[in-house]
Amino acid sequence: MSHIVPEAPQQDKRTRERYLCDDRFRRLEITHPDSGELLSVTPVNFNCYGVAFFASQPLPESGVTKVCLTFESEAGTLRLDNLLAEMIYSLGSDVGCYCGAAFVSAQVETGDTLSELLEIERALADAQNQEDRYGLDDGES
Amino acid sequence: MAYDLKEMRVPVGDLRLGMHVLRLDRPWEETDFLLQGFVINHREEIDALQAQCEHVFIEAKVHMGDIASERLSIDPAADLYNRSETGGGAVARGKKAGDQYKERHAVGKPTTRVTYINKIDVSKEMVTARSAYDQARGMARDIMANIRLGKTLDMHQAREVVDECVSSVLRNGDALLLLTKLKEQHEYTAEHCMNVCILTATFARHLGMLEEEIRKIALCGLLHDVGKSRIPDAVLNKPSALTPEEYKLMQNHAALGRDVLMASPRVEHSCVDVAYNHHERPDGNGYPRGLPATQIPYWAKIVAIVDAYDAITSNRNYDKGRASMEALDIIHRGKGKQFDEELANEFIRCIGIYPPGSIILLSSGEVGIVVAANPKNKLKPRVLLVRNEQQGKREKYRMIDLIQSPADSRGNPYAITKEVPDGTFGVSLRNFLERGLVLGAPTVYED
Repeated sequence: MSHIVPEAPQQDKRTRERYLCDDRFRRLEITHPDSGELLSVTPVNFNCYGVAFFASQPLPESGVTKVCLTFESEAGTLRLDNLLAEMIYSLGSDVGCYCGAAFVSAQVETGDTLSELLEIERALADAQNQEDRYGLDDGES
Repeated sequence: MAYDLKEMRVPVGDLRLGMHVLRLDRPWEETDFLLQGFVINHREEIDALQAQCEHVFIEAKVHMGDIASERLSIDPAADLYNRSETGGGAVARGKKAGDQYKERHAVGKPTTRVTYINKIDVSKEMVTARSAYDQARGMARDIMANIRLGKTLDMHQAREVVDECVSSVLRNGDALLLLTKLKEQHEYTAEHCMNVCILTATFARHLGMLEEEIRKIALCGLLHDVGKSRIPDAVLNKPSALTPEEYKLMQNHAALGRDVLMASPRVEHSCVDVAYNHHERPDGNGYPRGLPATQIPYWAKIVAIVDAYDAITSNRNYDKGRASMEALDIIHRGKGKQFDEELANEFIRCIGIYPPGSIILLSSGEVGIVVAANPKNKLKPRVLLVRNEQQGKREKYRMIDLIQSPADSRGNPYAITKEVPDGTFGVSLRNFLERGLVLGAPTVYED
């Protein structure tokens, strides 16, 4: 299965910046790669090639998942369903499971999907505040 | 001293052993209880009350001293109740205990706040801290091993571990914090307990808790995962991701921790609280009981955040830990759902975006180690450059202070692109520390 993720350097898998997600992600759901169960997860960072998320249940570190997301952009609500993605890492513990999934290029490159993913990426990129990453706005962070 | 007997309404999430239950929020006849009024002697009785009621009424003795109009304390059982809320037995001024309870529930933090300053330079404290850390990690390993063998928890030993660490954190908040960044691959559980103890003490210091409270909550941090000593080794140290069944088994550690601690003599009630509740979530989706936010003890909310941070940044048998900033990202995104929002914000402030010891990739392609945070601008720390533009070895290391806007070889000002996990680009923090990298000292190092 091919990804649109560019070939990554050996020691740092992610070459394209991923942007911190925010509450404009109204929904992020994935199917469990093994059981197919639909799980609601917390989006952490995102770019048009993939998404990192935190789940409250263990997930395998490989396998194919389907991603469903709803994002409130300035232009309106973007809704993407059954986006194929491949699990690329999973770090589990008793506090939850931090995972990364790369969107599958064959599907992403068709139709409007890529432009919608890019729109989300741009919206998140525009909202990044290098001086105040977490919006604590007190010069402390 | 004069006292009054009073009836006090208590949410079932705050019930403690020793409390005298007078009545329930429903008729006794509608419940399983045989006695209409009893002293709670067993944890099972608390579970039964929590299963059948939302609140109960307990008997509280109210002491009225010479300054009765200003100070008020309640005992014996209500004092336990009060202590769990305040995390240290603070005395309210000019307020009734019920009001004090409500206020603490609403504010969720101690009313007394202490500002600490570093009493000793980090480089000097590092010597003591390193020895304390090694010794304490060994003791933490022994504690877990002894419980696994069926021995009683040695609270004296546990307090000794904690006191050494807390004293170091109080002298200087950075030395032990840095040592928590040196993650071993094969000693996760004991190391994690130690790190949560140290990080909890550091966070409690940041929150301005009283010294005595810091010692107590650090002990809670050390013992928060003590229940894992009852989880089979095959699951605990599995060299790959857990299956859903194994994960369920692992989740039992919270209740097992409560049992281990309650069976141990001279255990602080707060330790039982934290071990049992540190996986509860404000959105009610936590375990083991799925408590709502208002019923989760304040200290358990603190340890939950610290626990998550260390778990995400720690190495496992099968995977490397993630960077500090990724852990902060997760905590930030989990605010109000998995983590208490106000405490999560404070924790992010406490750790900082680029804490000393972070490995960072710069806009030039060079790689550096954060040597010291800049108190005026935490986004512009002092950095030791250890890899060149192609991430290869440098002939000479170079110290730069980003607050002074230094330029790279192309004349562009340096900027931090991102933080990467320890070990990335072949940069191991441990190697640099062992070779004498001292935090805060602008030294030039040879390769």
